[in-house]
Amino acid sequence: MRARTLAAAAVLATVALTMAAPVNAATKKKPTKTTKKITATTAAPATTPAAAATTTPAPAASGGATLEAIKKKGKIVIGVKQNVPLIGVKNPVTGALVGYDIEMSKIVARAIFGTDKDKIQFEDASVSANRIPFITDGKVDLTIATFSITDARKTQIDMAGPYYVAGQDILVYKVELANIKGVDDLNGRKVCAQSASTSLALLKTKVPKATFLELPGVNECVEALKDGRVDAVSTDDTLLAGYVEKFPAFALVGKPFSTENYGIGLKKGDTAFRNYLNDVIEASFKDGSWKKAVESTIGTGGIVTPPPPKVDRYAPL
Amino acid sequence: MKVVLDNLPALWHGLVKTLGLTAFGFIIGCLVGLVIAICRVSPIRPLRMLGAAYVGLMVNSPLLFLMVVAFYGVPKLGILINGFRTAVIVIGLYVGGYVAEALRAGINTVSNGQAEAARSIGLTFAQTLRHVVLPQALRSSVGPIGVLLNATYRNVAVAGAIGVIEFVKSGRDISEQTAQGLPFFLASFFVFAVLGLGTSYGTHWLDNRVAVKR
Repeated sequence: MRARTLAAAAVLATVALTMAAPVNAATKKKPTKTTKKITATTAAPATTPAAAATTTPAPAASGGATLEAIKKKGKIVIGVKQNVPLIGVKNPVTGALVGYDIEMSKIVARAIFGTDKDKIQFEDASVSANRIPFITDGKVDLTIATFSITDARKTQIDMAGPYYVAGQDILVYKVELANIKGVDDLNGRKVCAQSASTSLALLKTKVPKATFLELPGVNECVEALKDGRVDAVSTDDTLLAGYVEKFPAFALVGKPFSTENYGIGLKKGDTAFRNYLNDVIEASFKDGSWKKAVESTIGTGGIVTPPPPKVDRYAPL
Repeated sequence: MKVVLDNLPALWHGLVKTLGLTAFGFIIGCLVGLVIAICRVSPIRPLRMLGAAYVGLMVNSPLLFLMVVAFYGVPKLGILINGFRTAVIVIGLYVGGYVAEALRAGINTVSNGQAEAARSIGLTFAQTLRHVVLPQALRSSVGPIGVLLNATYRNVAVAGAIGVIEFVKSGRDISEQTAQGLPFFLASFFVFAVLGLGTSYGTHWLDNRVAVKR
């Protein structure tokens, strides 16, 4: 009886071990939830006269009581994605965060404190649905988390920026670049997108003749692309860039077909602080720190640094 | 409720997938379960060990884990099977482990004396199973296996994770698109209640009909 149990255990262990490898690959990163909205950009002109922002780090706007409170506190609390390659991802060994949104956080911290060292407390806003509650509940001062500026969001929070304009793009094997040159070439092809995402909804209207595979996250889709289940994966170019960097056999098609204006989320009605942040963003465009942030992160994933976007100083809703 | 009615075609499509997954998966599960149960009571030791290991693995692994491993793992071996078929096979193998246990319990209800009597009149192991043990064991397993069928309806929702748009997934997708959750939860509840009660009554009827009258 004992021998039988032992033998069974041994078989189990072997099976478990052989199974462990692929499951790690498949589930290591939790699905990245990106709530995407196609932004109806409100083309509000830059109305603030003080926003010349020709000078580097010290922005013109005062920043108001919020800025004073943050300075007094000695640190700024920022919600970021912690599971998106090249945007915000945690090194599992050191715990250090790296990525484009992290670099943007550092730019903000440097403007406020003169240094970013030990001045930022990062909160995990990997779950997209948490981004607004984190701000409204006061858990964070800001969220910098691939957060598209939309009119719907402006009713609950305010958003500075955009500090980057992303677009929905297509990830394919390099050898397919000759056949898939734009979104229209996906008709009749198999495409993977995150289920219930706006990326998927947009694809369904753009290429109704494609076959869709809907998986829980972008990394699952990339796995399906590797396995040959699909010909392409589609979502924001910023999210796909991380996979190009990791797997050089992949490439971006490079013809974005949507506009995602990434902004910095903050408490609603705090116009003084929003003006300050907009000044910080504009200053970073001018002094080269923005370009450096893009190139050192998503730039390594094959994204060509676009011209900096025009900051949208909309009138408070 | 209007939002549910507006999306009936999509939900119906999902329900057909759920029923298909359940039906195919359950049939495979019963066949696998029968084979494994026979292994577990066979006189050959390696077969008994194999049966025990199989049941141990299936009963102790989360279905989602098996599903994801099969979906992303099997293609690495050079075999590409689509999501629906992967789901059917995985559900079949998974349910098989439970059916094997239910059948083994059924086999244990048949007293040892019967098997001994069968052997004493010269029946082989296979003949003993076929003519004496299994006819009685299957009858007493109808109830437990019916419960497994009921569980299978709900378990197939896991296939949503590998891109099979079954009933629960279709409801969840539409509820996200329409920003209305409750109507779909209620609709799912209703559908599963009907399926579940139907299966329960069916099992109960069959159980009574085939019961060994002692």
